[in-house]
Amino acid sequence: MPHSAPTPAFVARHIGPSPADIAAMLAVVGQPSLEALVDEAVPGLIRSDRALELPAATSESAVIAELRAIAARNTVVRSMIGQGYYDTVTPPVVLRNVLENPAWYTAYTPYQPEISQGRLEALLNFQTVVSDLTGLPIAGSSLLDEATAAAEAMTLMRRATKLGADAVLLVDERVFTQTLAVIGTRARPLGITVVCADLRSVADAAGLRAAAGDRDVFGVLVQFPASDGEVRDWRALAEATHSCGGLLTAATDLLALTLFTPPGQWGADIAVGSAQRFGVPMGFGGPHAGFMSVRSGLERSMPGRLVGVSVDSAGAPAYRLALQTREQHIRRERATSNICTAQVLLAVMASMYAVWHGPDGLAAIARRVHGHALSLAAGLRAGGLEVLTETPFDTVTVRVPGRAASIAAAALAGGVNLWTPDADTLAMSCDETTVGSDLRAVWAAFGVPGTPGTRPRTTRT
Amino acid sequence: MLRYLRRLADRDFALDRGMIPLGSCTMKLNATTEMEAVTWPEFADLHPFAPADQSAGIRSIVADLAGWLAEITGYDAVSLQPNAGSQGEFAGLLAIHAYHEARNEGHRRVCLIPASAHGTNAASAVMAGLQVVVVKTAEDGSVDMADLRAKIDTHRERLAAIMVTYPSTHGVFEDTITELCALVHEAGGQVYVDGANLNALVGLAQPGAFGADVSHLNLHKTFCIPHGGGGPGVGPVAVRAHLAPYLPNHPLDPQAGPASGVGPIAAAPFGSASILPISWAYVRLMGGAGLTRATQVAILNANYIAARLREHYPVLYAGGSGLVAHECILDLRAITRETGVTVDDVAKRLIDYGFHAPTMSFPVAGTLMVEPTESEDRRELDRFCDAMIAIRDEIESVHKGEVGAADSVLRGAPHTAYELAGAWEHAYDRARAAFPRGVDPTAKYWPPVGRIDGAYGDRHLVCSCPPPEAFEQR
Repeated sequence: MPHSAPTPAFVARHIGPSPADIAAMLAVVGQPSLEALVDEAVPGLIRSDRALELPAATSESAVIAELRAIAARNTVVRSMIGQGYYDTVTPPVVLRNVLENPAWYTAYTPYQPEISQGRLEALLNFQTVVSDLTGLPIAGSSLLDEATAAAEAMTLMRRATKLGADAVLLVDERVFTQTLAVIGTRARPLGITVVCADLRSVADAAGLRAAAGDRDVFGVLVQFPASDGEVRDWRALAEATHSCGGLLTAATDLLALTLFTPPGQWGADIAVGSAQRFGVPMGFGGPHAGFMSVRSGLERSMPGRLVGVSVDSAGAPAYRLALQTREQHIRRERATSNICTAQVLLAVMASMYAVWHGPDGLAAIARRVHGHALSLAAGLRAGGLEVLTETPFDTVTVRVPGRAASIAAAALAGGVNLWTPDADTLAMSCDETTVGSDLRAVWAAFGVPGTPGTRPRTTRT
Repeated sequence: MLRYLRRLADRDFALDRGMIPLGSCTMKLNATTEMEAVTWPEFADLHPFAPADQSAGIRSIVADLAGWLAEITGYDAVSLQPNAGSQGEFAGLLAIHAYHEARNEGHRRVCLIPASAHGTNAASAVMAGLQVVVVKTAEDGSVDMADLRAKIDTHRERLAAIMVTYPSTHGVFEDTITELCALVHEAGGQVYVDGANLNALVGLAQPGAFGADVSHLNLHKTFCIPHGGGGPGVGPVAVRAHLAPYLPNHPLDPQAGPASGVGPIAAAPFGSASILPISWAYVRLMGGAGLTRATQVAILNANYIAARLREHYPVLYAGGSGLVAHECILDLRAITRETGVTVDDVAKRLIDYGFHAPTMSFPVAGTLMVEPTESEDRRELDRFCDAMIAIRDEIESVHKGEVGAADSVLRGAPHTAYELAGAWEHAYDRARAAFPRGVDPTAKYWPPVGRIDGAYGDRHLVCSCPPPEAFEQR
């Protein structure tokens, strides 16, 4: 930087030492100027000789104004898209005191546990919530998102089973599109074959092998509730999988699990998912906390960070990261995963959402969401539409041959985004923020009167 | 609820209290203005699969930032989809493999990785289906060029890539980097430069121009996204033009990447999109000249610490000029050998002085790696140096035999307030334990627990909330 150019105020704030301090520090280092220091420290061979061509620095208030203008180009439409992302109410106490609080957001990974007890406790809460709701005893302290968590479950199942190298991963075709795609990306370089099939009728070992193209199956992945909204009973599939020496992973939804039988109780060995709808905004896709929980026996090959309880020098309970010898910074090419950064801030938010509402409060939210989905489906059926989802939690799929695009457009005109899986199908998901007027907007888009008897709250809170 | 959150937050040491001088982690300060937009509903309440015209604003943030990062790094194309540095690494390696396959050289599967590399590199390479071959690190922390040549010769036909960190994980600007790039390219391999240390390069040198083919960056290091206590992160992958067709894409958003791409590596088309305004604002506030000056001062701050501490602790791996890059390694191995005082003791004692420890035992066991970043001012740097010098004096009294290591104030660290109020059986007094030289008694950080026995917890694994009775003894 030429000495003549005044340093913009923000640059002078961001950079700690003042010009006078810089001069004094250069003297300690024994260099006449910053430029001389850099010339001496950085090999000339790699230096670039031109200034960066970036927009000129501007002030904090001007940047906020620019961001306001950019934000105004986004249009927030009531979302009933679902597919892993649901609108949610971030409790203001969590928004302001966690997400917007530097005490939480500027902390580092808790490798120094003595000075990280607060977030370690929050993460232990997260693990406890995930473990309780999924019905599996060991939960990690967050993964990157649902799709990568599912990919991690794939490799965990591969490691934990003794089947031959040609055994396949069998995925039900009603998992989220993005989850299946990420699994494909991750499976390919490892030489893992992924078979995607309709697993609804698989009830025994023979059916399982047949669905896999007559191959061994090291792992099965199902979505619970499925992407079409159906809450299916996968017990027979789980038994069939186990009888063939494989493991089963359920990609699942924590809110649904406050009402439905947890995967750990119907035979899943691993549960994965996203804790997004526990108070973390959709944020155009992230960041959110992915989660994974496992049955006992799998914890030592589980990827990602795990918070555990130990004792301090006075014998008092104290938290710290457990089983770190599994992690990549120690095991390198023998590591169980390359996961390094997790999603601590978002896991803390989700855990605090659960603390804020408590078990009964969460179940009440889930019942309300479920009730909306049921009345949405009833209204569509009453209007003569072919509703495909028989037992929904929050999502209803409707068959509308050739009309999906036009109905979605009508819904958008009425202020609601629906999901269009294909030209003949529409899906819509209710969430914590859904109100009666949203259901009426959907019914109107389908050209049906809806359910007159149902009068959910008409105003949004 | 608010009190509960406050109580938990008060137990932790974050950047809002003081410096976190972690080597390789670039814990720089995050301006509040940079954070503002994250929670605005226009960014927070967008569904990732909503019709594209509803997200024109955030898409322009993505496009701006990708362009700026390309300008900064000298690469041609950038994908912001990877939602962690590790995922950026994985995406970069997938691009390399896809490139080889497109040239009918899919048999190229060997990935050279220096012994000093971050462990994540090796783990990512294995995930990408590559075979890791370790290249020796010379005594000065740089890649052993003779061993590199030998390994290239051995694996020439199967060489896929080399993964190096620049400046090195030892905090050294190796002047052999251009030669390294040329050797690997000549053998048909690609060069992956890990961007973990990009904070030493911004405005001064561009990996995409000095010979590398692909890098991942860490927006949560170099570009001001705060660490969040261990995430979220953003790990964009940046490539030269020949690798651009193999960047990540997404089945539900054609704008997320090239149709010829390797598939998605994160659930959402643009990964952790809602925190991109933080880095966007940082670049916008700093401008090119400001970013360049930040790099210069980051290098100055590290060299200032090295200069002040050199007579107290040996500084490992300075370059030929006697200078370090943006971080420096303090060597405690001789001290440990002579006195029994360990890296752990120093790290925990720093807590009593009101600091988060530097990076421990990476990349060299028995050392501390210090990275102050450009945003710590001289007073904070001096406070840290003074604490390290005071700790050196405490070590000296162990060295002189005045106290055994096991009975020293170092081994007793960190000291809790509760412990001070109880029976006191240490050889040193309470004031020395909790208020050592330089600690402001009105601004004291108190650790809530004493030193934790990690191994105990691994033997007795408990990973959900203990019952309240477990805390009764307090």
